Amino acid sequence: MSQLGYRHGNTIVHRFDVRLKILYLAVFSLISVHISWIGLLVLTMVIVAAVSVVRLSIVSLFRDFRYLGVLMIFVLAARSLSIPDHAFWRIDRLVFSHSGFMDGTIYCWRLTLITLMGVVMLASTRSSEIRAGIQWMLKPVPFIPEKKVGMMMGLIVRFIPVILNQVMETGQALRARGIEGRRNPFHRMAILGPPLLRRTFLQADRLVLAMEARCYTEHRTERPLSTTRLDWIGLVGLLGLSGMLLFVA
Amino acid sequence: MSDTQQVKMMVYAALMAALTAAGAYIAVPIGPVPIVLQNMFVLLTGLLLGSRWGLAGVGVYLLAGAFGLPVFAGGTGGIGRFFGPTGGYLLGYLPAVYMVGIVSEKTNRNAFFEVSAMIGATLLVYLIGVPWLKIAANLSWAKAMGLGMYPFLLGDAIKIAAAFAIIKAVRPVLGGLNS
Repeated sequence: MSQLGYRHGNTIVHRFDVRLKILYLAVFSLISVHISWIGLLVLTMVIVAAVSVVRLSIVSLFRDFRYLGVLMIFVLAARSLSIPDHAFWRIDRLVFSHSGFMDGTIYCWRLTLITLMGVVMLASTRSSEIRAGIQWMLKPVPFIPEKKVGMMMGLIVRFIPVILNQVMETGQALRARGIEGRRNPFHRMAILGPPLLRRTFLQADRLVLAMEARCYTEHRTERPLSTTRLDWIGLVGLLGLSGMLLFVA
Repeated sequence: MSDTQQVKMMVYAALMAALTAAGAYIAVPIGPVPIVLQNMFVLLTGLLLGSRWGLAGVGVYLLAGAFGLPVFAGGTGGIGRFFGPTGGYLLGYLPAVYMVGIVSEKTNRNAFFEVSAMIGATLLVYLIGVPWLKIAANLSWAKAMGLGMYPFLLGDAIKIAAAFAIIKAVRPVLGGLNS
């Protein structure tokens, strides 16, 4: 996975406050359900611009997210089968409708945009910023230990690319030992799992040691979050764009 | 539990959540259709960390997805996923991991009960996910089960078998995490 994880930079997307980025994600994730294809087109342009500003490779993104395609096939099939309209394809008693297919295409488009936004967020935000932002947002929520959750979320963000690299390395080692010759999926999973878990827990132990050596406590100096004029302009832009998209819808 | 153990379990739970998220990108082919390993890691989280920390790990994983991080199947994320057709499966992970964890703890890691718990947990995910899919996508029961359950049962059976084999291989190395 070459595109999942923080990419150092000082672009306009990098400079946005993390809270605003999370807000952007949440708002677009929610309004994308209600907007039409015109709105999705506008949203696509905004997100493609963000992807190019952060300098993510579109080709690598396609490669990294190829399994999203499998999910989309199921979504397309579900929509095509569930929405009644004139048939454009029949397999035995299964009738795939035209309207369902179009509806499914819109849904998949929406899914792709939300995914891209998440990737842009990961690429442009340090895990410590994400942790601080999430802590700030969870603070008013009762019964949720925001510092613990923020810490865990920061670790997730930090470790996803590390684990995926481990998977790649383990996969290469297994291929070198002829795993491609074994088609049995059970065998493949049972062989991939133990080294992956062992290495992950080894890393966890090292991390715990490092945290203890640095006297880790929940009561520590937090990363300061501050807004600049750029963030306020971004917020106005978000409200304006959301309003416009919903109005068009 | 001492502070050191608390920190240790917190890091373990976070890394299992990261592993679950990474499982959304790792696919093993069964014939022409690749299956992602996400739910296998959910089951392994329950078996390795127990009910409480397993629930914490999966809860934080779902929260990360709700905040928009690309951690769900295929690399998707966002709060909207919980209201979509697959939202039920995601929420089903919570009782599933708790069930596997509590059975593993209460039966002193008895192999028969652990496998039964994994089967029960998988069915529990469908028990929440399929009606949710039916309502969200406005499908008939037959279509909801045909699209949201039957095609994945073989993959689930393989994942349960693999999870059992993996847990047997790694437990002696990792020691008593949830004991």
